[in-house]
Amino acid sequence: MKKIMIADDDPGIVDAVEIILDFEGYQVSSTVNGATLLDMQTEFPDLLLLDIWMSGFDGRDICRELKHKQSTCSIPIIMISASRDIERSAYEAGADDFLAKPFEIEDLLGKIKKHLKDN
Amino acid sequence: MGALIRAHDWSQTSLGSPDQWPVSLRTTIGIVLNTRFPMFLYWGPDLVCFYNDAYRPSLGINGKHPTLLGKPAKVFWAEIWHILEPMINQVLSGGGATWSEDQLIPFYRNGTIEDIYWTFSYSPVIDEEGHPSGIIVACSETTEKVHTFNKIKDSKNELEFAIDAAELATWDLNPQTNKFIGNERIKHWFGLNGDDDVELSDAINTIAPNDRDRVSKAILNALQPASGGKYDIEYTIIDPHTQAERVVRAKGKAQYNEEGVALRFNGTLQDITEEVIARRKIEDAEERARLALDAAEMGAFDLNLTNGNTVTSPRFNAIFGQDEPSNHSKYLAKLHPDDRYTRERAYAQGLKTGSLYYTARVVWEDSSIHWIEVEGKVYYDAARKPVRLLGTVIDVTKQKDAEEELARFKFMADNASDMFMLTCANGVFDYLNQEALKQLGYTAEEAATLTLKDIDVQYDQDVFNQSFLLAQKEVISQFETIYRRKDGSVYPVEINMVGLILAEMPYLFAVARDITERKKAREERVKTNQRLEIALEAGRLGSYELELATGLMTCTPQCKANYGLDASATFNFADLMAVIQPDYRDMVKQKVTAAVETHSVYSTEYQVKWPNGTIHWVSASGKASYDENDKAILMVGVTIDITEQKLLQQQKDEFIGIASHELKTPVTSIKAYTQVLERILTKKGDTQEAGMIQKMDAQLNRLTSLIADLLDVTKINSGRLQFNYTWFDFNELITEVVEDLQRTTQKHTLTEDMKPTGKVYADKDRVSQVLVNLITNAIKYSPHSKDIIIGTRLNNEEVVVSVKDFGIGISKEKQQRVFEQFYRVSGEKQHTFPGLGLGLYISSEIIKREGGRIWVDSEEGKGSVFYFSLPVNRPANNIG
Repeated sequence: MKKIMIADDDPGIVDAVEIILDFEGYQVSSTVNGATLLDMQTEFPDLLLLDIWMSGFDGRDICRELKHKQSTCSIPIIMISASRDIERSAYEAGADDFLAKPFEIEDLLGKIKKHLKDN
Repeated sequence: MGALIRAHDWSQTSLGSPDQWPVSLRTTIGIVLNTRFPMFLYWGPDLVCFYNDAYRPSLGINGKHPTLLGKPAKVFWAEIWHILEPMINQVLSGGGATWSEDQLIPFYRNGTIEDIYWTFSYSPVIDEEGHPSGIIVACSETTEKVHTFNKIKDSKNELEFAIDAAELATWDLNPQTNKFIGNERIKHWFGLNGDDDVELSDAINTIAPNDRDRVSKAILNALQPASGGKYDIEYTIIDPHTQAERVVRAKGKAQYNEEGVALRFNGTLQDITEEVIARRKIEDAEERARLALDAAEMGAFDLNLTNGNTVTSPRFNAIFGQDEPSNHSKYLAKLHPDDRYTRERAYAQGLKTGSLYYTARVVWEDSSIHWIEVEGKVYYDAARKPVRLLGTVIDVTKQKDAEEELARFKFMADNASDMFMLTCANGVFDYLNQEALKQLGYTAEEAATLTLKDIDVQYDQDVFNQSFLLAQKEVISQFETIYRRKDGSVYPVEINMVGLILAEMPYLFAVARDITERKKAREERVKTNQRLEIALEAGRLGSYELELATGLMTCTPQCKANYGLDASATFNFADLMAVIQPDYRDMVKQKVTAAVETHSVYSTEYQVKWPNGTIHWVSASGKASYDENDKAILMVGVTIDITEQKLLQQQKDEFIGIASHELKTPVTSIKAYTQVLERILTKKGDTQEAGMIQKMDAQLNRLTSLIADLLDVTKINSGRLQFNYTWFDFNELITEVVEDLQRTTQKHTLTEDMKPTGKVYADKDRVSQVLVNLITNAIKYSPHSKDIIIGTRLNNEEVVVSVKDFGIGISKEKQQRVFEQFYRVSGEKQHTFPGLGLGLYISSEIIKREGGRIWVDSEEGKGSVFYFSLPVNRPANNIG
């Protein structure tokens, strides 16, 4: 079972996504705190859903860091944001994909599938 | 005759029959009968007549022969007996023989009495007794000879008469003797006496010394056969008595024998003194005239109207631009084509009236044009036929040019909108143009006596005199004064003066301009400026004036304060550039240049660094002012510190960013829940409930869309609309969108009408946003119709999309405004149609900023077609 982590400071989204992914048969973990991601030593997820604007943290910075770290650089990261305009900067930060909020579940699931398969 | 005599009955005569005749008679008859010379014989006391054959013709026909043969002389010569008797008696009485030559003895013959001339001799015949018994007459008729002689004499007389009448002198030179004879006149002329012959040398000595040689040579020449014998020479004779000069023309002809020796040389002499004198007089007169004409710079011409020969003075030729004289037609050819008619008319007039006058242009060889004035007089012969045209020509180019210049000047002056005035040294006006008369309110007659004093309120005699003198020497600067009109009203004028010389007299030429308006405007401007300054101060607008040529700026303290400077600081264009942040410098320069070129307002915002290091935002605007040549001189404008506004704006933008984020967050989670629910329900088989959840999802999408629109509008307004350009297949995108939208409606049918468009470089999401907007509108505004047609085509370097519906349409007036912000369908049904009124505005802004165009074609009640076009490739300058 694939492990998917979602980092978003909105509990509503986290909850909803958890339900969906659970429904689809994924193991889901979540955090509202961006710092946790950087502190990860073990138990790395197979895929990360990363919100860009999180209280106190810029998802892009986190993404860059993770991509730098040997241990985490191979984890596919899908960035999500309310703003379409920063899609480019997301990719520049190293994101493997991008989703604009609000997103269609179908799209989300599709992207997850795709990146898990690639890996 | 012999036979006749023998046959005649002599017995009836006094002589008796022949056998009774004396021997002398018989001998004489024998002689008479045998001679071939005409002879007549009288014999006996009654002078019986005998004659021979040779004599017979003289008696003619129907005359005395033969009936009067043997009759006594009295009978024979009845009609002239009175003439003959005395002669015969004289002979008979011992007077001896007689001889008469060319006697006129008319008698009857040929039916009439004829005038007959005789040359005859009477010779007595002595008989045996020694007495004259008869007369033998030897005679011949000389009638013809006499007639001929008379004719010659008559001719000679006529000739002499003619010669006399012609006052000709005649001469006849014998080349052998060198003596000549002539008529009275020639002798008179040569002062020679009345001898018959004159020595040639004597005659020659009478000739004027200068001519002698010439005449001698001419004579010798004429005597040579080679010359043809012709002799024609003029020379002067000096009368030896009176010393008077006589000019003669000698004409003659020589005759030669076979050896070519001149036998005879004769001719006439004609006194041509008067002619010569007259001719010389004319020549002198002509010469004097020519000199006079030359002195007056006139060309003279003498045109013989019968043969067209022209004689021209050197000056005439010069006026026609030639060194050598030519001929009549060549002179005429030099006339300017446009003036030929003038000349012809004048010429025709001249021939009629005797006076010729016209002015015309002549074109010289070097193509220069000269004006000439021609005056002439026509001379007529006795039959009133024009034979000669004498005239003069002067070059009036200078005058004409001056005339033209003056005419041009007057035209310009009279059409000028300023006053032109020409003043003499004493202040009297020599000339005022129409505008001057109009402005001052005087008529031309009244103006004739106007002086400067009358119209210049500030006139001062001394000042005027000084200015007048000064103006002749140097340029006087412009000044203002006040003029008084005829009605007493006054008005301000600006004067420009210059001194000049006309026809060697000094004048002052002035142009006066009414500056009433200008003054008013000036005053207005001053007032306006004052008000403006107050306003600016109130609004904290700093104003500046930039001299474009030098970069020098005049700024109000407020303006300088906008840049963080003291009122005393120098602040020129260079300084300005230095404080503008590097990123904005080029933009500012560009915008200024563009505004100057297009005569429009320059407006921009940029960041500046204050001396204290802080960064401020400044909004600057301005407009250029131009001189008469449309060259920009100044840029005048205002600046204002908008740092606070900018800050606020930034805050607003940030807020919007945050707000949209905040709004989207709950929407996202609601949507996620909704979609999960839908799946669960579907899985559970609660299709109805699943359906409801689906509808919820659709509404959430609408909400999302509305939020996005709001966000877009604020982005557009703050210029923060961003595009992400990629290459994509255009028609593919369109198809996707259409398919998606078809799912949202069952009532309508979306059909595609797409031509190949290939790949396009644009923002995929934004393009689809526009299309969604248009199709959504089409659906929204077609409540009663079904079809919506989406078309694409490639048009040169752009793709064109059309969305056609058959709905309510848009009226012509409203079509202009549909793309405005907040614009919505108005009218009764306004509230029935949902929407914020932002869609078309956003679509329009998106398309425009991607370098495309958006427009609509619609008819109220029939439907609309919305179009937009996009360049296939990104435009050169992206507006951002």
